Amino acid sequence: MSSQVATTNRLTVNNLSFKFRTRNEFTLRDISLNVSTGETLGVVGESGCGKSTLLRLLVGLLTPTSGTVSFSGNQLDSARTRARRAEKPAVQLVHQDPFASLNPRMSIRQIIEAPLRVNHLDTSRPRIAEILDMVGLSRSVLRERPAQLSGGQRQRVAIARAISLQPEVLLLDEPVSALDVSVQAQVVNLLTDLQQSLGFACVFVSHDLAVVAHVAHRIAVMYLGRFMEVGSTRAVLAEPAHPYTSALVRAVPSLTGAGPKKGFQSQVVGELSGDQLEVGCNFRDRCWAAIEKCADVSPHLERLSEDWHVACHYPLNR
Amino acid sequence: MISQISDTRFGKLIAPIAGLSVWLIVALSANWLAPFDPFLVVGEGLRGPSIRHPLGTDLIGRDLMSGVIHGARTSAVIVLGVASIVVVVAFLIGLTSGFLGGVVDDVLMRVSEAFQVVPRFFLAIVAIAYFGSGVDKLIVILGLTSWSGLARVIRAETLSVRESTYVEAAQLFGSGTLRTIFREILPNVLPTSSVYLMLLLSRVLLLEASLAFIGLSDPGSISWGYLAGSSQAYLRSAWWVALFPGLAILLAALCLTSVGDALGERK
Amino acid sequence: MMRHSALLEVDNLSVRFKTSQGVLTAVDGVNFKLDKGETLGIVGESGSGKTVLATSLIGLLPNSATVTARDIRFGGERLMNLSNREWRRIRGRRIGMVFQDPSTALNPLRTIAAQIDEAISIHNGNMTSREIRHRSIELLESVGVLNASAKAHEYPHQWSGGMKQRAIIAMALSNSPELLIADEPTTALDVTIQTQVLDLLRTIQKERSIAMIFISHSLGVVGSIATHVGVMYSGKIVECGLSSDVLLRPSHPYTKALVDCYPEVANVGRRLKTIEGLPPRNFGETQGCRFRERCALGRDKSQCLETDPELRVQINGRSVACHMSGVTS
Repeated sequence: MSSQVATTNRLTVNNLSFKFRTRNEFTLRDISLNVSTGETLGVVGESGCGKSTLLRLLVGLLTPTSGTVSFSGNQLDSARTRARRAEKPAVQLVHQDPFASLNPRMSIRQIIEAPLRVNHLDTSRPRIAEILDMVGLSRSVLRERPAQLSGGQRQRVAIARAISLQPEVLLLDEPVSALDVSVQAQVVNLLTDLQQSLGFACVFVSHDLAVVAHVAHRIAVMYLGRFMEVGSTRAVLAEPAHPYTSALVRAVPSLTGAGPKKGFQSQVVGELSGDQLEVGCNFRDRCWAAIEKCADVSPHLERLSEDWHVACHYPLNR
Repeated sequence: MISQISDTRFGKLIAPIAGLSVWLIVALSANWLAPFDPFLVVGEGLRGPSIRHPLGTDLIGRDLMSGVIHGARTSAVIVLGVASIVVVVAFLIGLTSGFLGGVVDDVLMRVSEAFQVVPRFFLAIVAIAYFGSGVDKLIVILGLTSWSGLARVIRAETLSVRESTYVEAAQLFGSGTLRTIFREILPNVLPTSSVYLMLLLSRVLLLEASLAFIGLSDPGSISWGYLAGSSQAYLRSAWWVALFPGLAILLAALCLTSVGDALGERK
Repeated sequence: MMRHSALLEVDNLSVRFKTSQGVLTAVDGVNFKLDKGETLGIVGESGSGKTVLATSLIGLLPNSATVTARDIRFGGERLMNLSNREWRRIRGRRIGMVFQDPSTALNPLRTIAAQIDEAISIHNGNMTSREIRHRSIELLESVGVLNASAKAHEYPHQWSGGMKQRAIIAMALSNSPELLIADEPTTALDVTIQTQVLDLLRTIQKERSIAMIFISHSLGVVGSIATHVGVMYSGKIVECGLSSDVLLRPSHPYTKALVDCYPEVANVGRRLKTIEGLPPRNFGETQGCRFRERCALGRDKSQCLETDPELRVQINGRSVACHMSGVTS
């Protein structure tokens, strides 16, 4: 968490906006972020906030409507372009569902060897063994098929596949949401360890604020396609500036706080309307702290302090 | 225990695979296995099963057993020949169409529709009338008229597999179009397509038998349908001329469809 | 919880399945009592048997399941070996159910109003359709659906996940049941919606004095709604007691380990504790404690290897199934 001097910026996103051709509203608006070597940015949001779409843009499966995505200074090509150019990808993605992301008709050995082969990298036994060791899997899984492994093991295979290419940036889409809490802990620790030893930059997308708290150095809170608050995890979660962040934090069931959450302030009313508003803050209809300005002027991410930005006219700790 | 095994995919495959193996072996060793030349008149016409002629003789005195044995070869050649054409064409078109989509898909599907709407039986008759009835021509005709159904099934499977997360994951680590189609998609398309293929082949067999029955088979080779058809007029009294070739057709078709069923079994 | 004639008494309930890999014991000798106004939270991971337990209490297990118990009593009535007709009398009327995925529990081809109507009319043949419709709207309003009279005529796909779950809860409550069984009712919902639905359930329970069985894989969720907690592992309840007791001062090594690896927003940057090994597979007969292989305390103890610990009541009203309880790690 210390301020990092002279670390390499691995992923830079500038004013990224995206709209699906078939939809009227923008799914993502004005997203900007930076992630450095060895750093994890947690992107948190509920369903429909656009976090999965963000990842697909970062990995080149979708093309931005406006804005740029660059890796270590090089602008991102679409995934198809990269495949055509046969360049080793600088960014890899670990999907949410470990069962769906592994080809059911391939053995684990084939699954792990595939990205290495395609990129003309070492597929020798020692290398495969090394990769397995890194993710804590035993040799015996090589013979098996995905269906024979547990959820945690499958996710380790997916992670192994992703890191085998030594990517500069690792993107994770809800990597532990489908796992039991005891297995979740194993995989989360694995990711932290891997980051320390391999040094990749990491974007960890999740709806689970508690998991993100344990794994992310910095956190970005998303709502309806925009970042509401971005800052160091410790600062943001200890005293959230944005009302939505505060509501999210209060909503997470904690073991230490016994009994129901107190206070109307902490409750978010109503449902996600799904409509992006051209004018005004998207969150105002559900926000208990809304003032008149919130209906008239769209808030932008503004600097609260060094490395803390909030998109709110009336932040909670102004 | 037996019901436990026979309820699995493996269990259901044992019998029909055995049957198909027998068929293949008979086909390969026809020349040695058959007691007589099937075209030669070796006995009296329309004699029932006897020691010398276990399956009897046909209208003009040819040994029926030799006929059935050689018929196995002819059918095997035709089914395998058609299978080769159908598999190559249907997979190429189905996979390409499903994977690339867009204009390519539209064009290929219109082409396949053109082949699909034509009634095969009548097209075959017309083609035979025009080109002749040799086994090779028959294989080509049946092959060209049979691939379109399989191609559509393959295309449908490809479309759904293409959307899978693991295919996306493959594209993300750099898998090119060719590799993605053949290493990621094809193995997952095979199960459903194999089922359809087996059913298709059994229909080809029956189609060939029907054509042979009405006299449109290759005159240079014996076909089961021909055996039954050539003695049509005497079927009532000489039951063996219909029964044995008919049984052979039935069993062969049954083996093919049973393999299809077994492949479709879950586990 | 040790009250005289509680609303629901379960004594030595076991559920076994015949599978191609042998006999699967999903639930193994479970005991508990539940009274009006109490909420029993059943917590467990995959393979713990919690969902099978819930399903067995409403008779919805497949035919391959064998349910055995010394006794299961609900409001004085025996809940074992009931005929389909007897189950229909209880299900939906005296026992209401809420399941995890609201999308699959609702018929996509019928309006919400029609479905709630049906839930009511099945058990109330003497009401007119107007009375029934009126009651449906009332119910939707009582579960917090705004503008219920208009929205009720919409179809499930037009409602959000949280609203659908409210509709399911409305249906479950439609005939004033004495017991509500909820199996992961908020797992598929966003966390802010989850708090709303949990608040709703708490309010309902207070107003109507219903007993509730709340099943979840999340300790935190269970802790926020349950008065009592039962922790399940490999088909058995390994610890049971007041939720504040069990969750804040766990006794059983598994409960302790689960509490330790629960992620907390307050623990920013801290490394999560884990439980070694894999979740259990409950095939065939096992000897000794099922948790032994993953247990820091009992791994090498012969007692844990040989005997399966019984659920024993301790002085403070809590039950633990552990040979090592009372031993500090």
